[in-house]
Amino acid sequence: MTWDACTLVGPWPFARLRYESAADLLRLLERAGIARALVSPLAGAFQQDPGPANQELAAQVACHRDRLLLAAACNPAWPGWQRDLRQAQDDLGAVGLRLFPSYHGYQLGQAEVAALAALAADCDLPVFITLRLQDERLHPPAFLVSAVPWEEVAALAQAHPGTRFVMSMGRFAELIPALRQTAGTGNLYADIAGVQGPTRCLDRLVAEVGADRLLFGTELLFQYAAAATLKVEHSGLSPRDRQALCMGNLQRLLRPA
Amino acid sequence: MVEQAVAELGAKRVIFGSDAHGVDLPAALGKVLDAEITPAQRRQVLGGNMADLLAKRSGL
Repeated sequence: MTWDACTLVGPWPFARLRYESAADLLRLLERAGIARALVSPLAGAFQQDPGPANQELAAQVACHRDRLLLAAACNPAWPGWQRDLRQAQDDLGAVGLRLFPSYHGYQLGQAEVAALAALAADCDLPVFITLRLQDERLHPPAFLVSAVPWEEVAALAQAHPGTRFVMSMGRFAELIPALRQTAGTGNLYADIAGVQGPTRCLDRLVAEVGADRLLFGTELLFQYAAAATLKVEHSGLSPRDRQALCMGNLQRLLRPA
Repeated sequence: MVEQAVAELGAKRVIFGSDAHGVDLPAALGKVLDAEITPAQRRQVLGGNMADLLAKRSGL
């Protein structure tokens, strides 16, 4: 069974996506054989106040809680984020938080992020940090957005060992040093949605950092699901590592002992 | 994106390329296998067009 740690739903401001709704996501997950997915609103990256985007998505997934779990968009640089975080958990059923630091214009070393990390730990919510939404070479000329440096993510995780973080949409060369640097605290995970290479990338990742902090992810509705599922199918991972990557790790992350 | 390439250029002018070893071959292949194009178009993209090109070049 496979759980997807990285899906996004909603319109992309710069191009018409083929699919945009939670219903579309459910259909594509079904086709790819993915049982459950964590989903966040894409609009949450572009609106300073992501509250309305969270509410809209929560309404779409309300009837599908067995398949879709909300990771609410959160902007700690926006006033009232603490209230929004509590509401996302209590009223919308969010099981995680997703940050878009480059899109909301803050660094992970800022005080607001430390406060968010502390509150997330209190609320027992994992924090997904979006390194990028698309390859930097493909950005519209008037909207160039830098990737979040992996060093900032690793430093944040080390500074808050009681909070669980996920580095989302990082590349192969970013995952390895970040996961190595946080081996001691063990509270940083990474999804593989942004890992497209090199050849046999999953085998090499597991050889370098182990399988226990890696999460399967597709980046649907932005990317093709088969690009992720075939990476796993054609890898040489052991049944144990495959189970951990595809479901066990995310299950553990969402339901800690 | 594959759908757009096929729609804009025509399936006869789109050729699969993996960028291996920089990209994992299954990840590259997955984009074409998952694309919503016809089976005939998929065959063209995944090899038919390249075979035609090489045949013209080498007379095979």
